Order: sequence, then C-alpha cells, then structure tokens
Amino acid sequence: MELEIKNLTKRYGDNVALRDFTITFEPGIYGILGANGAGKSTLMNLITDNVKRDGGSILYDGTDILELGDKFRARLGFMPQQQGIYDQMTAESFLSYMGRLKGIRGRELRQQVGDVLGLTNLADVRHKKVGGFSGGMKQRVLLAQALMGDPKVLLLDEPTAGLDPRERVRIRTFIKELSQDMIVLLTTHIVTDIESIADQVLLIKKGELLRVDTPHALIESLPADWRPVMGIPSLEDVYMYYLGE
Amino acid sequence: MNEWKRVFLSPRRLGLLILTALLCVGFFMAAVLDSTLDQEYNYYTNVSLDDLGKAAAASDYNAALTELWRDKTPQEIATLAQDKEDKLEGADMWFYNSEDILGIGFSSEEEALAAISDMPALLEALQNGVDREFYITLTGYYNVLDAILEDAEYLAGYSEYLEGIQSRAAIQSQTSLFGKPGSFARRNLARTAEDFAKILGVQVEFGNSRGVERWLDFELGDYFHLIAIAVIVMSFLEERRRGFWPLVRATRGGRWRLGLTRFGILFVGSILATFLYSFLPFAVSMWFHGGWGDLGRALQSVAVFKTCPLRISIAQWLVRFFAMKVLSGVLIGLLLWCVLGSITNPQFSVAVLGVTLAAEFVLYEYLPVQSILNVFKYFNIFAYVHTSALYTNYLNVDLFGFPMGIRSVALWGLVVVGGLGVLWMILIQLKRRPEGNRDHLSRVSVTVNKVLDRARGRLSIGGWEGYKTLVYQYGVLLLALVFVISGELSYLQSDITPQVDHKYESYLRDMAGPIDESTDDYLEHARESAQGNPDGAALLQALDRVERRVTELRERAAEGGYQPCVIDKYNYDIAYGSESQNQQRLNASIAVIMTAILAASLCAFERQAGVVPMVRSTSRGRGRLFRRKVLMAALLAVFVWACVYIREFLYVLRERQLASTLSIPARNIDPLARFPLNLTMGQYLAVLYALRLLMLILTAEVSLALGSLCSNVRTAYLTCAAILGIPGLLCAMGADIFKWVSPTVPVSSAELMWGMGSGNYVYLIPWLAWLCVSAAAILAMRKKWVRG
Repeated sequence: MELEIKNLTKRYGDNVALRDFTITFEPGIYGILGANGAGKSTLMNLITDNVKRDGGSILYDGTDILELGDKFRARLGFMPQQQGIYDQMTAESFLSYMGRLKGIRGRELRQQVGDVLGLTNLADVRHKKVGGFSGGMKQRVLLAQALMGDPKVLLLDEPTAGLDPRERVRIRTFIKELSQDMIVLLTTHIVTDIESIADQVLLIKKGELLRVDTPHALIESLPADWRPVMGIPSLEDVYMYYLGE
Repeated sequence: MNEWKRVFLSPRRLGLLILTALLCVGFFMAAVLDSTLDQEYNYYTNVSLDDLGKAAAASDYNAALTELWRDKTPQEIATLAQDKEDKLEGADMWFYNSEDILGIGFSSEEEALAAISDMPALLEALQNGVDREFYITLTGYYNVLDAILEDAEYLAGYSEYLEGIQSRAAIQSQTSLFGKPGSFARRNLARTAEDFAKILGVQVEFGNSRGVERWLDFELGDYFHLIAIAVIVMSFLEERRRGFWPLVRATRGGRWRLGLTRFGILFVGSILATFLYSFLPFAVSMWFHGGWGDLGRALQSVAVFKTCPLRISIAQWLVRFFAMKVLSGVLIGLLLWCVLGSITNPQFSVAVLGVTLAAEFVLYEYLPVQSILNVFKYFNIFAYVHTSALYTNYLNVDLFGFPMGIRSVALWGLVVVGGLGVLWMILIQLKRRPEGNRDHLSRVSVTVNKVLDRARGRLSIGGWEGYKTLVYQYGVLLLALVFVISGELSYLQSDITPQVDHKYESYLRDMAGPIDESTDDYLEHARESAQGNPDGAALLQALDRVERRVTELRERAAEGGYQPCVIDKYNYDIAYGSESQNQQRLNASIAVIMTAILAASLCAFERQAGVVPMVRSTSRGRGRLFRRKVLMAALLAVFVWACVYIREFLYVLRERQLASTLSIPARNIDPLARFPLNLTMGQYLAVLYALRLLMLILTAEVSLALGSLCSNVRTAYLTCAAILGIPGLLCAMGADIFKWVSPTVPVSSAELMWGMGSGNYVYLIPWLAWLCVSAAAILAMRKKWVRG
C-alpha cells in the first residue's frame, strides 16, 4: 500500500500554496511540520480532493485518486483542522451519521461507534449534544469519526490541538498503535507530538518540501551552532533551524 | 455607545426592521383595500394595485361628503346619505339593464349621469363598461354611504345610550335580580354608571373617522411590534450564542452597566417599533382617508370608542395610546428578556417562551369574557400587544369581588410587572453566570437522547437528511406553517356577476353534457314551450343563440375529432382561466416562497456547521448525499404542492361541482378550442397539476442550489425567499413586468395552459425557461458539491 504524490502544485491566485510537491508515503506515521501558511492544510485538502489541484498527481497504489473517487474515499479517514461539527447532534448520533456516510451500517455501525467513543474517552458523554462540548472534546469527536470505517490513509490536521496532556498522550499512543498497517499524515504545531510518534518528518516551507527524514536524523543534521549549549537537541531546534525565519 | 450601534446598526437587524416596516404598510394598504372595496379579500389574495385607485376615489368621496355635511344634524345626514344611496342603486341597475332606464327612477341618460356626477371614478367605470371595474368602484361608493349612515345613526343615539346606562343602573340596583348589595354584580353596575357619568353630555360630532377606524382595525402591526421587540431582546443574548459571554462578563461594564444600557435600548427600540408599526400605518391611514383635520373631536365621536369612558379628544387619546404602546413594548421586552436570560439552555428557553406565549394567546383569544377567570384574559401579554382593545372595550373584571376595569388591570400590571421585570433583569445581569449554573434539564435530555440515539442509529443517509431537515432545522414547524398558510388561500376568483343573457345561460345549463339526438329533442321541446310563454319572444331569441352555439360546437368537434358537449365555461374560468389569473399568481407565489424557504437550508445547514470538507471526504458524502438532498428538496416541494394544490382541486371540485364535467373533452370550452392535445377536462386538470408539481420541484432545486451558496441558514432563507418569491408577489399584486423574472407563472401554469388553448406555442416558453434555469442550477450545484 502506498500513496504517491508527484509534482503536486496548487495556486491561489498569484500565491503558490504547494509547488512540485513529490513524495511517496508507505504505512507509518508522517509528521508534517511547517509555519502557518506553509501548505500543510492544502496538502491535506488535495489528498481529500476538497481542493482542485493545478498540477501533478496523487496515486493510491498506482491509480490516481480522482479516478478511484469513492473507492479511495472509502479507505480515507480525515480529521479537518476547523472544528466543523453539527452542534445539535449528540456524540453518538454524529458518529452514526458519519458512519453511514462511510458506508457502515447495522450492527457493524453500532459496534464501531461504541469502539471509537471508548478509544477517544467519550463513552460517558455519548448522549450529550456536541454543541455543549469543550474544544478538546469536540476535537476527540472529530478524531473518532476519522477513525471509523477502518481507514488505510488517515489524515489528521492538528489532532491534538486543545487536548490536555493526558489526552494527548493517550491519543498519541493510540495513533502509534494504528500505524502498523496504515498511512498516517499528521500536522501539528506541537512538535513534541511528532517527535514522539512520527516515523518520518516532512519539513515544508512556502509550499515546498525541504526535507524528509526520521526525527533522529533531522536532529542529528543540526549544525553545531544550532545545538543547545545545555541539554539535548530536539525537533523544536530542527524546526527553528529549517523553518524559522 | 458600541452596544447601541451593535443592536441598531447591525445590517441584518436594520434590514429586518426596514423590511417589516414596509411589509406592515403594505399589509395595511391591502387591508384598507379589503375594507374599502369589500371584496372577499384577505391579506394573501386578490389584491391588485389597480384597485388602489378605486379605493382612493371612494376615500376622497368620503372626505368630500364629510366636509360638506359637517354642520348638519345626524338626521339630515342620514336623509342625504340615503338619497345618494338610492341614486347609486339606480346607476347600478342601469349598468346591468341599460334598456330599462325609466323603471329605475331616471327619466333620461343625462339625469342618470348627473346623479352620479360627484363620483368621477364610477362615471368613468360606467363609460368603460367593464364588469369588474364597475362592480368594485360601485362597492367602494356603497360602502362610503353605508358607513356614513351608520355614523349618523350612532351619533343620533349616543346621548340616549349614555343616559340609558345611568337609568338602567338606577333601576337594576333596586332589584335583587342583579345580585345582592355588596356582590360583584351590584358593584359592577355602580362602577359602570360611575365611569360613564364622567362623559355624560359629551358632544359627539360628525366628521371623517375612517382613517382612525381603519387603522384600529389593523391588528397585524401589533404582531410586527412584538416581533421587533423579540428581535431586540434576542440581540441581548447574542454573546451567549456566540460563546463570548464569559468575556463580556469579565469586563468592567459587562454586568449591571450593560444591563442598564440594554434597558435603554429596549426603551428606544419600543419607541422605534411604535413609530414603525403603529404610527406609520396611522399616518398612512390619515393621509389616505383625507387628512388629520378631525382629531379635535370628542373621542366618542368615533363609533369604535362608544364604550370608552374617557372625556378626552381623539388627539389626546392618540398621545395616550402611543405612550401606552411604548411602555407595553418595554414590558413585553422585559418579560422576554427575563425568561430567555434565566434559562441556560437556549433551546429550552425558546421552548419555554413559545409555550408561555401560546398559553397566553389561547387565554387571550379564547377565554370567554364572562368567565370567572377573565382576569387572565386581560392581565395577559397579548393585552399589551393589542393595546387599542383596552380602550375600545369596556369591561370590569372580578378582582376578589370588586370590579376593576381592564385598562386599570393592564396599567397596574404595567407598573407592578414592569418593576418586577427590572429587578429580575438586574438579578440576571449580576447573578447569572456563563458556567456552573444548575442544569436540571441535562439528566432528562440525556435520557431522551439515549432513546433517540438508538432510533437515529438506524437511519439511512436519506433518513438522516429528513431528520436533519425536520428536526434540527425546525422543518416540522415550517411544514405546519405551510399547512396553516395554505389553508388561508382563496382558490376561486370572487364571484363577479357577469353581464349575461340569463335565458340563454339557463338553457345551456339545462343542456350541460354531450350533444346528441337528445339535444335536438330538448331544443325542439323548448321551442314549443316558448311559443306558449308570455316572454316567448325573448325565449325564442335565446333559443336561436343556443342553436347557433350547438351547431358551432358540433362543427368544431367534428373537425377536431372529439365528442361535442355543452359545458359551463364560467366554472373553469374562475378557477383556472383568465378570470382567476391574479388569484392563481398569488397562490403560486405563496407556494414558491414556502418551497424556497423549506429547501433553502438543505445545503446551507452543512456550510453553517462547517462540515462540508469532512463530509465530502467520505465515500458517500458526495454523489449519494447530493442525490438525497435533491430528493429531499423534491419531497418538500411535493408537500407544498399537496397543501396548496390538492387542497385547491378538492375545494374547486366541491364548490363548483366539477366532478360530472371531468370526462368532457376540454376543447368544448371556447378558450381551449385549439388546445394542442385532445384531452378530457379531467386529463387537462391532471396535466395542469402535474406541471405545477414539476415546476414546484424545480423551484425547490433552484432554492437548494441558491442556498448552497450561502454560508448560513438564515441568509439562505432570506436569499431564496427574496430572489424566488418577491418578484412573484409583486407580479401577483399587479406589477406585470416581474412575471419575467419569477417562477410564479410557470408554477401557476393555469394561465399558460389556458393560453395554450388558443393553439399558441409561445406559452411553452416560461415552462421551458424554468426547466433550463433549474437544470443549470442543479448541474452547477452538483459540480460544486461532487467535483469540488
């Protein structure tokens, strides 16, 4: 299973959001790091086909995702950055609805709804309206829906934003467990999240892919004058070195 | 100052205030047309801008007569008005039986014309010779004279009426039939006599009261006032809905100071609402009915104030009324604010408010005046909504055995409840916190949701679309509203006596049905009977016409290859033909608006929730979901169609007894003689109703597409209703130009089908045009939703 991105380009007017972006993803966790406006969310939106591409291709196991259409989306789990949610629905109803949109039905649907509610620690509030949830709880509901339908490609745009440290660790661990037979693309501003679970880190700047490597290799690549005098260098130093202005 | 700006200068609220003010004046003028011209109009039907001129002519006539007869006694006024009415009756008969002028009190045409020379609009209508124009103009003048006669009678008897109250009280207080001394009945008698003693000897004068009367008849303005106050109060709760209540409360001026500012806003808002929905219609009414000149008369000079025991002039009463209206608005606003502000859960607070208002309305409208509980009828929110009723009705309610006037009840209520409301509001501002308030409902709602979640878990994608539309977007309420509104529509053009040969029509009615040998037998028999009749010549003349008609129908049928029949065209004309064109347009535009509003939110709801990217990333969130939305829009259109048009069909079938004529070939009706298809009337109607259904479905799809461009549901409702509905309404009200930019005509279909009866294929264009527009809209929307 692989997701191959070839020369992907997206422009918004004169502004190039993504330029000749090329990479191949295989099962594992890919952390995407970049400043605001670097093109991380655009990449996610192009993979979900929520935004029209201006050039290049995205191939899933050798076939373009536009050609695969619903077949590709059946293998996709997407958690968007904005907390778009039906406030009037209860957590369980929302997941049931999203499950139906993913083609899950009957006992299987009830089973999966129960499972993801448990995984995201929402079982106690399953019958409460999502509109009354805190930002962190909404985040978990969105993550729960992304996990439904046994996705093979999981796109998580800022999944741990707004979560408390305990929840973040829980979710991180869970994502790590999932990644054995799944491609997980994860964007976040919380560098430690990526550092602890990502197999590979993508550094994006102004729509271009600067580097792809393991967190360890990236840290190792830091020049001496960018290493802290005291303590151990981290991915945050990498971020500042490669992506800081 | 920012809070003032936020509330009053928000484009949405400002737009709503302006729009409702315009609507209010529009509806008021429609009501004036209704009462001046006395058609079977209501706010939705039959109003035509053309008729405004006729109403204005009647109104001018009223003003002129009032001016002319101002110094006359009521008895003289009655005689003069009766004389005018007799002449009008003569003109009426002359129009319909011009050959009998000598039999209706005129010796010559010149004399007849001179008799109505002070009614220029009627003279013009008489010369134009158009039935409807003459009939409506005539009715306007009749109504003026009837009202003057009623005024004269009222004025002549008013002092006697006042003295009667005193003498009745004196007599009844002497007998035990009207309660024991100290009982409520006895006290009420004394109180009534005491109140009316204050106006004994009041000088009631003849004058132009129509402006005040028509304005007082108009209750819709009171509801607009209520809506405006509710909108202002809702704006106070905006921070709660948008989630920055904690932020506002954390600021220095965010508690009692903000509350005080908002109280001021409510006060000014109520002044503004009183100006827009009470004063503006009043000003329009006074202007339309001949000016402000007669406001110095005693209040009781206007018959509607017969039972108001205040010794003041009309102008003084107006000042009191507007002040009372402003204070009532503030009180209602305070109550709404207190209820909505006290409950944390916004949906529950709206539900509580809805139930409270409904209960108050039921008590106000349906509690009998004589009921022992009638205090709840007048100590009621709606007593403050319909403020004028406090002055036009005299009634003492039983308050622990003591009679208290309804006006006093309302005034004391205003002071006491107003004071409590202010205290309550201050407590809310100070004590109500964004978080941590007790929420007793939470447990109940979890239990209910537990059951509902089990059911919702079984819904298909289509089922979910229905559920979202009906429950989350309050579609059930909208559907109920559609059902109620469609029940108010008129389906037949008001009966206007056509200028007909009654003998000829009578023969045709007798012969209704297929033309065959029995027709010839009937005609032969009728000729024999006519010859022995004293009115034989006229009957034979009519029979000659009938024979010519039968021959014409036979020839036409032979040419067209269908069964010739005699059928009464009039029954179809007033329901589906050219006579009912305005009626049909109006019904169609109401149907269009209802369909547009129902379908508008189907996609806008997703956009408002911000879930579109997530939904579109699922395997069934594009094509399949799109198809379900299209289907849902169609189903909503079917509901509107059933409410409006199935109801119409059943009504027309019953009222005009059309069932027996449904098998008759449509081409037998003259305007349909060259209809392109050889259909029976039943088939013709089936095609008509099927086309209406199709056009309404297409309207729903266009509304769905327009709504999908809007970022929230409210904008979608307004956009779709405005773009699709308003041109249609204007077209139905007589601005014919708007028919080109509205789906009203294709949805109505009646005039197009009727037009096709002349064999002219041009009438296909509106259907085809709307089909193309809809197809383009659906394709564009599909491209946007499915392809991105």
